[in-house]
Amino acid sequence: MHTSVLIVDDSATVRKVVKRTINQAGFVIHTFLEARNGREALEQLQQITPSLVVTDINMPEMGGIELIEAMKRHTHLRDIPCVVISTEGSHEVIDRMLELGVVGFIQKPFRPEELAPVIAPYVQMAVTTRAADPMGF
Amino acid sequence: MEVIPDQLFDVVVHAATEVFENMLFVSIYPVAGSSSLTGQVIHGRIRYQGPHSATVHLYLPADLALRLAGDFLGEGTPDEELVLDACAEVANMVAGRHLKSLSPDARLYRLAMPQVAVEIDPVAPPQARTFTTGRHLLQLALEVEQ
Repeated sequence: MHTSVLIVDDSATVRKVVKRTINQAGFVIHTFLEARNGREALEQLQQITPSLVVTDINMPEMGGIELIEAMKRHTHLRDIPCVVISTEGSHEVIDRMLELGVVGFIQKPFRPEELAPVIAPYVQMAVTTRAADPMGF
Repeated sequence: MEVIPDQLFDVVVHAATEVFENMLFVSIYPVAGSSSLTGQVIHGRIRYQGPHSATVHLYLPADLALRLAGDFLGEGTPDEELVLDACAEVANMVAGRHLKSLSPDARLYRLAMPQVAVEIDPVAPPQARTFTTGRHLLQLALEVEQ
């Protein structure tokens, strides 16, 4: 199974940190896609259907809520699971995310170990060296 | 809600200490008296609105910002654009952590987009407090809107 994750954040720092955190947690991700806002993410989603979208909320041009709303309007995008990583934690935004069926919410700053259990159901863990090589070579 | 700037500032200092330790792996300690930073300084700031509104300011000397960004990103020497981006994100996380402490359940506050600029010999708000990493000074300020 080809696994891909689309990371949407206007901060290049956050995109890199999320990517590194997912890699270090031991998940097998064949392709990482990146977008700086919701509009860029939607453009990418016309070309590829990722296993998971990880998005921020506050972004210029088009924010995370607008992105997820747009995804829910498209038949081929509405079932892609979305995880939100954001400093934003207002009632209004949390309620809207629940309505939209977001599968996980992590408030920044986050510890790396908080991300793994949220994304685990949607991406595959790497096979450990021991399991892949039972002879121990 | 009665706003007591000094108490709020203590909350933001706690938030900054936590972000620096957990995300940047650096401890910061308060420095007695006021100092001003000279030379090239990265100024990250972010405003929030809610029961009270305020702006969090973070001033990092360029060499400290470079080192922190490198550690944060897991890269040796990130380019200037990435350093500025990392500083904006640190200010964003400090403000986010601060608001989580103020309102863990109610989540009454909204954050604006972080801003970042390179400044020479910046003049921090008068209430700014100075901290040290042991090798570098940095400054933190909370400007509460009345």
